[in-house]
Amino acid sequence: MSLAARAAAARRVGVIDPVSRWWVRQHRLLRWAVAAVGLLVVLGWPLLLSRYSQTILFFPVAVYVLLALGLNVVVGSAGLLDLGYVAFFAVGAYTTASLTTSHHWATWATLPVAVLVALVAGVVLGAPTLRLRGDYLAIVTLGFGEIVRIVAQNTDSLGGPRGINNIPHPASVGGVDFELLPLPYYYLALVALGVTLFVVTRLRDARVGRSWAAVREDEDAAEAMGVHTFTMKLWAFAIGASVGGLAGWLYASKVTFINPDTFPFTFSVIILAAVVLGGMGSRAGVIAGAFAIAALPEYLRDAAAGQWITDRLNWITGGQARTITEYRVLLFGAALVAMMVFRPQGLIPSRQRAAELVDAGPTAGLATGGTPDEARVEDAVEELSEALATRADDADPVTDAALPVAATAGDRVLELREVTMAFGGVVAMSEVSLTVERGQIFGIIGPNGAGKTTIFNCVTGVFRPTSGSVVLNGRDITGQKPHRITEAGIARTFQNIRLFPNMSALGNVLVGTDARHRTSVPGALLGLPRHRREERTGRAEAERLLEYVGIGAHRHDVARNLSYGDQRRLEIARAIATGPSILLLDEPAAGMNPTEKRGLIDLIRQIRDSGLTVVLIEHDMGLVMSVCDRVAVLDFGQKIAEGPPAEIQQDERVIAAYLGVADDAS
Amino acid sequence: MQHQFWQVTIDGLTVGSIYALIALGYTMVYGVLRLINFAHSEIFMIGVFAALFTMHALGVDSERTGLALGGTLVAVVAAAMVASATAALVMERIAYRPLRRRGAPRLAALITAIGVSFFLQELFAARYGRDYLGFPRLLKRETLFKIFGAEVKTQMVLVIVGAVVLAICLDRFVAGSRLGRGIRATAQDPETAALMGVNIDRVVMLTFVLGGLLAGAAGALFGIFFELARFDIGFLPGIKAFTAAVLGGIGNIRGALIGGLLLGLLENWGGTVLGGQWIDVFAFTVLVVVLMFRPTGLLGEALGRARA
Amino acid sequence: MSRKGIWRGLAVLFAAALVLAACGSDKKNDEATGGSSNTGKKAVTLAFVGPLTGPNANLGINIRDGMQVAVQEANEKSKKYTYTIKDFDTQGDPAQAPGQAAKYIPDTSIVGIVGPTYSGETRAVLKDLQANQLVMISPSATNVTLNSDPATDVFHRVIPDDGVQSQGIADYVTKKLKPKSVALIHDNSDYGKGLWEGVVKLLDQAGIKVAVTDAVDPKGQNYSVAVNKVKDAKVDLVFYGGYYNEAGRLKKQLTDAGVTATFLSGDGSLDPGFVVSSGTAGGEGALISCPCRLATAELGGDLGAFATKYKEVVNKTPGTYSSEAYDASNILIQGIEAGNDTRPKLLAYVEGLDSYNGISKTIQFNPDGNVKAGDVFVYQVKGGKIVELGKASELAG
Repeated sequence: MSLAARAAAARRVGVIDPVSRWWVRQHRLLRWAVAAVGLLVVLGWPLLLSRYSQTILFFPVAVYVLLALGLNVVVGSAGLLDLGYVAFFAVGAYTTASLTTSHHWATWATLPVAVLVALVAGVVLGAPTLRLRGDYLAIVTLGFGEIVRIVAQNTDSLGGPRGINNIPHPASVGGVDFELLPLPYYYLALVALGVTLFVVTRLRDARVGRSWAAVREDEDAAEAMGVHTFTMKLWAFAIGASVGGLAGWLYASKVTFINPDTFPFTFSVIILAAVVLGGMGSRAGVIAGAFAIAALPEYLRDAAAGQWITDRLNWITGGQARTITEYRVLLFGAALVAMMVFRPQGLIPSRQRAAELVDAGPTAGLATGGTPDEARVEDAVEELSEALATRADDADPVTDAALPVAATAGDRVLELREVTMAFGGVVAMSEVSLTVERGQIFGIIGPNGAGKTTIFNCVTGVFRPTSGSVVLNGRDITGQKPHRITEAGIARTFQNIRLFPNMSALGNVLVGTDARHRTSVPGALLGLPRHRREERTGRAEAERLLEYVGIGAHRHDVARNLSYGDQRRLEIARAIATGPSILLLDEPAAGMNPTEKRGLIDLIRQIRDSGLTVVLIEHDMGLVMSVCDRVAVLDFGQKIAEGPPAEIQQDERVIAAYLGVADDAS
Repeated sequence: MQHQFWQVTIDGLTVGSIYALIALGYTMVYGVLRLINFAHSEIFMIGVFAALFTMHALGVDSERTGLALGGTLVAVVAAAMVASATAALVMERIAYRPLRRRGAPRLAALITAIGVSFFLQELFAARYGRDYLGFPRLLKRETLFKIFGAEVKTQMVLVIVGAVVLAICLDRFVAGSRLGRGIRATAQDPETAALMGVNIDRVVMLTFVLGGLLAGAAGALFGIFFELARFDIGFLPGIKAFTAAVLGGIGNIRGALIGGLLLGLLENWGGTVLGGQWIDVFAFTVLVVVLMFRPTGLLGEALGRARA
Repeated sequence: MSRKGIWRGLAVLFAAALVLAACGSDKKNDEATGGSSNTGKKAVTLAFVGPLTGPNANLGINIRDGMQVAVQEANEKSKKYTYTIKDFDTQGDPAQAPGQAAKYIPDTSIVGIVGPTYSGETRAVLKDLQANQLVMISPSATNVTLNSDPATDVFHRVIPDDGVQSQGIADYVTKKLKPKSVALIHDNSDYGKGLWEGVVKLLDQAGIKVAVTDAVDPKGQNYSVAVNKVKDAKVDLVFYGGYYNEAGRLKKQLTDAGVTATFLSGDGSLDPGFVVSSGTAGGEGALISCPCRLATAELGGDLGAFATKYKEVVNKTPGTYSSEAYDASNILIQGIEAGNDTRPKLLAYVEGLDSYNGISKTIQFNPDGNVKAGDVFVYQVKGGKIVELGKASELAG
């Protein structure tokens, strides 16, 4: 990518801070050089420092950075507010302490155990609570953090309030003694940091990372796109927890003494502050934030202007502090407020978008877009058909069923059998039966509140029908979880567009393609062949799909910056990417201008011609009548008519209930 | 447990009332701004100090009775309410409004709240020392009447009645007044509310002031009840009140009242059966269980919209 | 854009300041080594290690203030040395203790430590102190195993450990108070529970009925759960293991609930702050035992003089461990005055110290660093003041 292109790319992102912008624009070689110098400083600089500074570099600095990176997976990546993160740090430390002192394990041998136990703790604490959202999760994690501490305090075998003493240092490795001196531990912490960074980076660029981003941006949409939201959240929790356990091991083996007071609630808060201060989701930011949070209070202990400041503060508060040490927490609080007020997005905000730009090919974000180029669309259609065909070779049963090539009219793709949906006493949908045949464009119309979207929600698993059943390709899918239904071959769009607004268009579609992928955390970490294959094919397919719906030029734009019509198209592309046998479109033409509508009609036909079955909810009669092969009419939750458009237009009941009014209104 | 049941229950209701008053502030701010205002603990703490200083200023040095008692009580509570409300207002202007103006992420405001909390605690520690300050005894401790053998004392009645009356006033205000409608509208949809002519800044200020008033009242009642003040005295009641607000359904005024009272009861019952060291474990476990079955708290989120 | 520019500038300045401070403080430490002032006196430094900020700061401040009195007196008298105190604020947090240790250990101007304040933070640095032969005298860390686990030369304390105290308390209870049934409550802290465990065991051996055991949360205010249990069990004696703030609160809530049982607590409660927490009426009659002397001006003698001087220097009345801190400081100062102004010499001096006639007690160290068991004194709250009743052994008579 040319320098100008990089610059343009960086500008378009807008949110990126000057540092990242500068970074993005630099030549690869220069970036390597800067990184090398940085590494040199990190490795060499501590050698020149006093023992005090070295100790501080291990704890709190390195430990805080490690914990902040771990918490960032939970808070920054997956968007789960965790106020009890210190619990996992405690679990790691206590595991180490207990095994080494009571069971005489070697300290090194406890390392994997500490990490594993913390991971298990993460899963155990996460499993019952991760269904909670937002701040409810926050208070529950806070509770768990306290519970872990209090249980340790009340458990005699863990030393009770006294804690555990005489935890052995790790044995020497390659002539490096781990005793009282801080430096070896600092380097050990660097290794831990390196490993953590590797893990975090690997996952961020994989299916798991995209799933986290999707969950963070819009959990319901993510679920509808086949993301196993619960599993993915659990993974985030587990990975965050294991990093906490690792930090706990490091800490316990250096300090050799822990007690419950080491793990107060405020510790969790401080680490969270580091994450937010640095810039959630950004690795560099989180490291900077943790550094600031850890170093600032230490710096304030004997700041150069300390006495002067202390005197002034004494004068202001009427206090009698002798040194600035006594004011450092006060100053730290003030600094937190000031930093957030002047820099609410964090010191170095997430560079995810920047990274996507850099990964992009030479055309990244340069084409101005507009009306899709006919030739390119045709190419894409052809490519997609090929791609869909090759998909069959994967012999995946789900995608097998989705094979549009084998479509023959007359097959029943989707059947609703007397589906009733009642909310309390209100019946939104009453004994509706529908049959959608393969290759059809099936329209569902009806006045507002007739129960159209309820049908979609019942089919896609958002609601569980009160009675009746939903059958897809001959298989009963009634009441399954949304992501299972997506995997079974139903994809949908939403009435009010629900994209992942801060992800790129490409990222959005990739989340869709991931529905057909299997790689989870281990695969991504180890870089298994399947992971690489899936990444490659997924990306290629996503790009083809963007071309297919006509917004290929915008692939690297952030979704929320797309025009309204393009957002609709993107949502369709994302839905198709999940590899469905049937596509549900919820009022796709809502809010579109006539030109956009015409484009949409073409697109829907094109999708049908590619072999997908389409179900369409729409108010726009013109659109429905021109594009649909078959139409069902709903009124007050009941199906009052069904048939070819021409027939429906003549139907007395329909005219009475609906058309006479709505025709004009639309 | 059987003998103590009613006494434990009444004691629990007393503490629960204080939790409830603080929880109301959390809930109001949360309902409108979706912000967990961690510094609310310190607003409460300021109320405790204000009550103490008002007593000093009024020359309280022994128990008062009759009209003198009534007047002093009103003065002390009012002073604490004003002090806390002022502090909340200043905090909103300095620490939160700039963030809102910049459309900062919610978590940024959370960190600001934590910063404010540290700052205020340490400010009071520097000014008034790190040791407890004692209150003079204003209210004679007398058993007013007995319920099933449980002694109901003057100070308990004061706290419980005070808390419930204030909570009802707040509920009426938010449900019935024009300003209250503004609050509810903003809680449901700030953008639409703004379009409909609601002055969001005013609503937010009002919310902080209301929260501050109640925290101040809680501080004064707490001070009269426990007769102690210290810079970090708000920390634990603050956490508990936050828990109570979530338990009842955060953003829900009645939920905060119920949640507070319930948490007080749960703590006292749990502590009596399991031992004092397990109080918090018990309270948090109940919270987790409740949230698993009712993911938006006991009464749900009434002030705000239920999130999709 | 201009705003961003300003911020960027600030960020750079801030980073630069951090780096400079890191280097700067190093230099400061180096300069401090073995400097001599222009008065011809040699400068030596004693370190205060303990909490000065955070929720546990009150005890630390008592100790630091006691040190300050000792150092000020020494500076007035000494012809050879100028004494200074350097503060190392751990917040009483074991996690912060090693960081501070890394600061005072390389600072060779520091020859001895008064502290660390709490047992937990002491444990966290003991090995490091031992490796650097830096002598410490804690006025306040009372955990029973500190002297032996790990066993070190540097460890000393001028206060008997919780074992001695619980023995003294148990003796006093069984011989003097002779309750039929007791309630034993603790604060679930290292200190409070430690003392409590000792008392539970000894009273159990003595065959006294323990009707209630419970714990309270030192951060909380509402102790009605424990109060109700005590009231319900109709005990004659309530013993509380914990610090004065909570002890006072518990005592007040007991009094308010109409509990008339005798209230007894340990050395952590021997502080005027007890009466602040309990209120004058609420605290009346409470007994506090301590293997130490609480300095009040009324006492006269050395303790009274100390209390007067304390008021002069720091404008407060002495609290828990103030007089112990004064004694600990003076042991170190006496050693330095005798020419032991390096770490190994001062350590050897303290190890070899036969006996020191302190204001709190006559101090003799066992080889493991514990102070030789001394008398346990009993105090009572009377009219809002803590007054000394006498030696527990004599009272029990």
